[in-house]
Amino acid sequence: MKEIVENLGRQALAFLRHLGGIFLLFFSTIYWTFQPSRLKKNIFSQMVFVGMDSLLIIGVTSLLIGMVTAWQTGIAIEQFGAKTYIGGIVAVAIAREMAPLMVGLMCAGRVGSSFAAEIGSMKVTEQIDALKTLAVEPVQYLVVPRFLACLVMMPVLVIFANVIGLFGGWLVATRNLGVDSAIYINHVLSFTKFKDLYAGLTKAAVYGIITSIFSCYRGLEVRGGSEDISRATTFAVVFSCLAILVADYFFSVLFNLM
Amino acid sequence: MIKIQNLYKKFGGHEVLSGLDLEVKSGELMVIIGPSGCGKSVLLKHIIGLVSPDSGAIFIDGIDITNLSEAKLKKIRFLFGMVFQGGALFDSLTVEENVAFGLRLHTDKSEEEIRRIVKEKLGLVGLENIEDRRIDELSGGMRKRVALARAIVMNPRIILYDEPTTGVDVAMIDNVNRLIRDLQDRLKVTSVVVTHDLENAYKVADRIAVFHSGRIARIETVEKMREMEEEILQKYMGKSAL
Repeated sequence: MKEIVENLGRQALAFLRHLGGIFLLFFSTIYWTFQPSRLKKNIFSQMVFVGMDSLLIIGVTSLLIGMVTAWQTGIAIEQFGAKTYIGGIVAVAIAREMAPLMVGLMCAGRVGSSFAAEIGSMKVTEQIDALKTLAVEPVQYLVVPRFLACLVMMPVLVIFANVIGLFGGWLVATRNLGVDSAIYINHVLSFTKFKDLYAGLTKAAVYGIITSIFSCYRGLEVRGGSEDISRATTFAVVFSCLAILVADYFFSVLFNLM
Repeated sequence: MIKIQNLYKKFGGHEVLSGLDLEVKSGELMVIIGPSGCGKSVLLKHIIGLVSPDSGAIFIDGIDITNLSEAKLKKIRFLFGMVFQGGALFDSLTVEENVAFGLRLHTDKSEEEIRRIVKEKLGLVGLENIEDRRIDELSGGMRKRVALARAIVMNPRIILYDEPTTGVDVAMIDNVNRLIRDLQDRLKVTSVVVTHDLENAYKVADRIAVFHSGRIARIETVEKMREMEEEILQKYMGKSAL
């Protein structure tokens, strides 16, 4: 019994330590974001990595999500003779929920794991110490570009996912469910409000903050060797996904109240 | 000048530095020798402010760096160049980008000027026409040399070397030693080298400090150290360690 309590206590302390570290890194990142810097090239290369390099995977996933959503909702609402509304339902579901969540989770996996592994390996090979000896702040050099890239590019990916997802829904609606193309597009436009798009983009920006800060934090916390790099990578993906899902719940409540 | 007074540092329950005192004169090359894993690298990281001591003081040109803010510490670090044990080169950058790193971030020099300086510093460490190479294309010895070129590119007054010959081909070790000594004589800097290898220490040092049980047990000139080698090895190093 004593062992269980001790173990729980240790886990709770570790959780609080990580939470404190994550908040400290977040505020430190905000501070260094507004300091003058000659590292703009880094921001651009991270934006390419987060945005351009994710296009294929986000495109394929969005297409499938759009197609599945159209199938599932189409079959369900057909019973009520409301099949023609499928465009509107797909559009709202994708813009508000599916696209930001999918982009968040895919980026947490693809981008978050890469951030944690890259920074962790720099830590192990003393490259982060080398940065300090060259009078460079590691947060400014490593975290700020990744933070800004996620903050800007994840909403851009959501816009892309919206378009591809709607296209997937259109394919299923017009080819398989017999909905007229013009009606589908008309309902997409009439159902989708600015608030839906705004909600999706806001979520994506926050998921970008979560992914970049969690992953960079764990990378910077790597101790020892390659074993801890693999632990850091797992932590970055699992906890980013978990935090994104928790944030998604609160966003859903918040945006429905608004 | 580097002056260390009564330095203590513990990691967990293990005391790595136990009241260490050391003085390195300006223009001198001091080698700190001790068995692997005894805390020599930790001492080096204290000198450049990468690790804070539990107590004690480290004076760089009369300024105690142990209580400085990160911003002030950054200014002090411009005095230093450091060569890490594994080189610690930025593996996402080319050789030229590594060497020019400090120049691009901290000076307003033109690209043309930067390229000229990089070429000059690479020439000083005996490397030519490798500016565009990636780090993973370099041998261990070349990495050490590029790390050295990066360390001297801002014309530091103090150079710290962490096990400079470790991981270098046996055939290249003498070259690295010659390079360290040659740079010392040409640049007139203050240098601290940590190593576990007494033979290499003889080749570069002005004075040799023996690190033992978290302290500097004694400091001798190379000549004196050669005379007392047997005693030093048995008393402080454990012969097998060398």
